[in-house]
Amino acid sequence: MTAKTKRSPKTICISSGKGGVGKTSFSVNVATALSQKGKSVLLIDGDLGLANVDVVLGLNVRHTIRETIEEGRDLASSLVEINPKFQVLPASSGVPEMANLSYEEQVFLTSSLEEIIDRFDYVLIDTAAGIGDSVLWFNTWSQVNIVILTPDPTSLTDAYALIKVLHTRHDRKHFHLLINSVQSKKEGQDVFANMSMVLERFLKITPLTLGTMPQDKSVSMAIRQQKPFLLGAPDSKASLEIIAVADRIIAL
Amino acid sequence: MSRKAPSDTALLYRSLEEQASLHPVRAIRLTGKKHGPFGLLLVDDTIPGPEVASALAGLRLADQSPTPPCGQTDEELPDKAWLRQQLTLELGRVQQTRLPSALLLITLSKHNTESGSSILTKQAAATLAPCLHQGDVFSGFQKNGLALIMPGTTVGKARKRAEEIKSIMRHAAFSKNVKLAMGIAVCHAYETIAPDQLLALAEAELSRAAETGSDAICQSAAAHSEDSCQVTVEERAQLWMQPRKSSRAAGIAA
Repeated sequence: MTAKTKRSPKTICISSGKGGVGKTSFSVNVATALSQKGKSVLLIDGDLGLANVDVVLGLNVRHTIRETIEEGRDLASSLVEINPKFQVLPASSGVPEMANLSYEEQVFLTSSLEEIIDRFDYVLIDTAAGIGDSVLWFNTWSQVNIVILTPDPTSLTDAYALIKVLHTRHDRKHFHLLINSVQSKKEGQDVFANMSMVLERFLKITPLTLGTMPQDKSVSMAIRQQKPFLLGAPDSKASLEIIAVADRIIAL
Repeated sequence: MSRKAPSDTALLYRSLEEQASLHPVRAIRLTGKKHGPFGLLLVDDTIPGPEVASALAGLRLADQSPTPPCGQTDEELPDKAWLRQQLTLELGRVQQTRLPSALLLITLSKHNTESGSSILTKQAAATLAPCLHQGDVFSGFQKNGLALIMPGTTVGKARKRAEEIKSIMRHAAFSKNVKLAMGIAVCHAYETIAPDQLLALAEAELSRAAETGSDAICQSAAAHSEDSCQVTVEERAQLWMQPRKSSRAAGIAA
């Protein structure tokens, strides 16, 4: 019997607390950017009950994580290839039971995921909004936690609440913040500075910045066209920024 | 079943383990639903620990037991050594799944005697057997105690289950004049904790509960942190006020 040499991918969880702040769009585009840089990427739709990754990418999905959990189907058979370096593991939509997995289902999903992730350099998980069990679990399962927020007070509060729960109950200490939908770089820097100050003061943690994403029409247009804005508008501000973010992720 | 002398099976296992120790392999006893081992796993020493833990966790999941309904037969409850072995497996699984696990210790003693009896413990075990959840590991603990490993359970949920168990026990006929004490300790994936440490934590809570009396349930200090995640008024004020100020400032500057 010989020991297998396994690759260990970098697992990155993308959450926000509040919904609608651009998690899925960010996840799809950063995965695309990483794949363009030659990295093999798996994007897992971690919103198990209200999946969106397939919608943003315009995929016709036959099998999802649900079939693996409910029927024992091999998780690898649900993978959808976007390009040779980028695969997606889709989830189901409109299935309330999937939003709250039981302990046994979580254990089963863990071992199923561990069987397939070795072949990738990066595993990105686009979680659901909120601070439900699956969101917290994906965050604790991952090595890197990215929290996306916008300058809206609701988004700030929800992102802070998510970080507080992850820190207080799960001892997570390192968070990378991405400020989305900013009107100017300055606004993004202010939001980051303020959030850092509150996190340092009340939770004694120092977040890292992953960058700021500008409000950009090409983003909403790309979503309607169901393709990554990085492909639809490669020269847009958002695309240039997402490429920079991908570089920062590679440097982590 | 007498536990005084080692059985032939136990002797056979011991001999196999001795032989295994001469080779570059690890010998791991696999415990069954009942008291004794049902297998011996020999693992190549070159395979990393986490991989072995993962495989063992898978094995355990496949053989999930709400542990045997005890107390209605002559069989003894699994003892503390067995519990320690199960805790070792469980803690490996906590690391693999990143899900917490709770250990609940229960002691029963008759008023005025301060000591329990094995009959009492068996009756309690029989009472609890039907309400065990999938994946629970149930065993004896000391002479008058029971232990329950609850995989995937946070402190809050463990406390709820302890309350349910207390209520069930209190409605059982055997529980008249019986003192109950319960101690809970929880292990999270971010902690590196040995089985004995977890056991010691739960035992400390159990002692505290016994001292408190009145069917007390005590939980390790980490438990209290579960209530402290609400975003406070001060935190909100800081979060909301500053960006507006700075945006306004940015606007004025522009």
